[in-house]
Amino acid sequence: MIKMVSRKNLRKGIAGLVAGLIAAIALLVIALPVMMQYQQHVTKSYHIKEYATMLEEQKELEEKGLAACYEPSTGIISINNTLGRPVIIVLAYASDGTNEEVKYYQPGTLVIAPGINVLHINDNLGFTLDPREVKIIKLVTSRGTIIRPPFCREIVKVVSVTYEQVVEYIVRRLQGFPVNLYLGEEQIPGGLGSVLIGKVYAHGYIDYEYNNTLDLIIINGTTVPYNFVIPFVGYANVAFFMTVDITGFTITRSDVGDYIALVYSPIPTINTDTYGCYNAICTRFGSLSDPLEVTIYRFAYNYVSKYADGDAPDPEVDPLNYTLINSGYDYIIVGTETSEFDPAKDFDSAPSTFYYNATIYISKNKVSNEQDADIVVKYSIRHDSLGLARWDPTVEYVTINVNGETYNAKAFYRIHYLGFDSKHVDQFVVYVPIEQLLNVKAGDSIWIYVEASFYTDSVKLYDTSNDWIEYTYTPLKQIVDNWYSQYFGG
Amino acid sequence: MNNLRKPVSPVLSAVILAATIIAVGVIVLMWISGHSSMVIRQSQVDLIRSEQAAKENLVIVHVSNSSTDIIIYVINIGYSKVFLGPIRIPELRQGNVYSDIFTPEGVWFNRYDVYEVKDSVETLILPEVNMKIGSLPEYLENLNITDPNALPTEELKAFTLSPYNEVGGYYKIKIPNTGIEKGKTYSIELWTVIPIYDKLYLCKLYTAQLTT
Repeated sequence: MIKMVSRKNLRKGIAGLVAGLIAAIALLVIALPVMMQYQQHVTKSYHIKEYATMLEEQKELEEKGLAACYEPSTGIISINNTLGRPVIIVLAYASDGTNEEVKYYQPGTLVIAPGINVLHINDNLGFTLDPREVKIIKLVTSRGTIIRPPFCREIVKVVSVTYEQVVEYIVRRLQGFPVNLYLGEEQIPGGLGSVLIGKVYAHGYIDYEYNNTLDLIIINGTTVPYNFVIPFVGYANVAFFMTVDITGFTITRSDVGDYIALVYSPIPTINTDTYGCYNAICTRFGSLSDPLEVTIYRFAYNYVSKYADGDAPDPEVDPLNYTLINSGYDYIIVGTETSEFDPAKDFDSAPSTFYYNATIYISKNKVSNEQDADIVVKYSIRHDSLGLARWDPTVEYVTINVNGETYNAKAFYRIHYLGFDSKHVDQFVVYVPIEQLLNVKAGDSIWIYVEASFYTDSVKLYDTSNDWIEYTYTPLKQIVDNWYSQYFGG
Repeated sequence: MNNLRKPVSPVLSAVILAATIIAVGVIVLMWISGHSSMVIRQSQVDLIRSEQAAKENLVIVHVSNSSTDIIIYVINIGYSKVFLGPIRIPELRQGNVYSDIFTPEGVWFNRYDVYEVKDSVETLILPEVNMKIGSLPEYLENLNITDPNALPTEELKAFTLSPYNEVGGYYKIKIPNTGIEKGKTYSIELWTVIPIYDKLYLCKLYTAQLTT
């Protein structure tokens, strides 16, 4: 009897379960399209947000990578394009306070090439206003960025006089010099006063001097990224960080080779290391996780110039994406930037070891044969597999050859990370004491040509510059010395 | 007597149970679906608007004034057409008079004109889009219209601004007789709109400043 009841109950139970299942499936089938539609909306909204952020970032990058000023006495706008790619101007606006003119340019007819560009407002931009009377100029790029060059008498860039005259003028009268960012700059919304309150962090081959009594420090040198952990995301490279309270202005840089000069107070914590620095000791000023609030008295920042190389031997692995050049105190840094790739996926087979080699030719004059260059810089970086899709880079050598003599050189580099995995060195620059090695002075042109390659046991991917790159040497010694004597008494 | 009652078949009871659950479920889902179709439609509208807002790249190049007229130079740097709707200058609001709102052809309050400028030649263009407002409360809130009866109609017009490389130029917006005064700062709020399901919805706000 007990057995019979149990069986009956069991049948009932199974039947109930089946009924429940049928009902659940039926409800799910009805509800599924609604749920899927919601899911689609959520995904699409996320993509839209990402796209909008990307556009904003592109604009911001363009705004900061184009430093410009206008000299009314000559009618010349000087623009320093440090973006490494040409920028197309589509519209320009000028006003003398009473009359205004707007000029439209067919896309591609007015291009700002990487490096320093000089535009005359009448001859190149087509305005008919008297240059001496022009009060406002605006240039609109094809990405929608508005460049509003301030007057060069406020911020001096390259003007028609010699570079030494400009430097003398700056040292005598002004606090700025031809750099991307500086005190009082127009790119900072509303401009800045003579003193800033903010937070600063810097790492690199940076010289410093401090005065304990005044609690004041001057730092100047080439920045190098130091890597930081972002929990659950991976490593991030940061070479310089600054945020200014009053204007809400923030700059975060992760490139190798920017030049920085700062006078501020109080003295931050100072630590030394060799992270990203070969044959040189680098220094960290302050802490990125807990930056100190400081008063900034002098600030100048010069982005490393990037000269794009259009071609590539492989769709993913490009040994020469950009040539990197910048002036320092009395030196230049030259180097290369590769494409970002994953050696495990982008080489034919994941190599246990691969090398990155480059040769950079530097010459006072443009020569037809690169072997005739005055200086030859060579470097080699070995990458050894650590397993788990990670590679460990080791700098094998960095040499400078001048007049048959070979010297070991200092170099600075950045490692490309994918999450927590170190992949390869993607930026490498060499310190070249150009004044010592070559008889060049401020304002002189120097010519640079690059060969770079990645190779494994079975593959060699080789790339060269399209042509020689002309670069104007703009050392910052005079200005840094002036700041030093002003604050530290000579 | 109890022994004479015929037991209900477990299969039949399960079928009745399933049918009941499905019936109740369908009724609930129909209700949810009816309610959610409104929500879905609204979220579709929002999605289209945010997609357009993300892609839209109208640049206010400069704002100037000539006497009491305000001139705004704009260029469409994006890849698709932009529909220009109301322009608002909050500082011009006086009491309950909506003298701060400017719409194409003065369909609501005050009129503004748009010129297409190509090879330095200015051509007056007319609003191409004329539709009902998509979400009236939102319009009223964004334009700070506290009296809904102030709108004589629910229709709105919009100018079509083509991308710069299509039109080969830029646009000049002229707001006549604004009553602006010297030595003051005015904020310019320029709204673009987007037609969705034959209605015009607000899309993106662009702002600029004018100091006279």
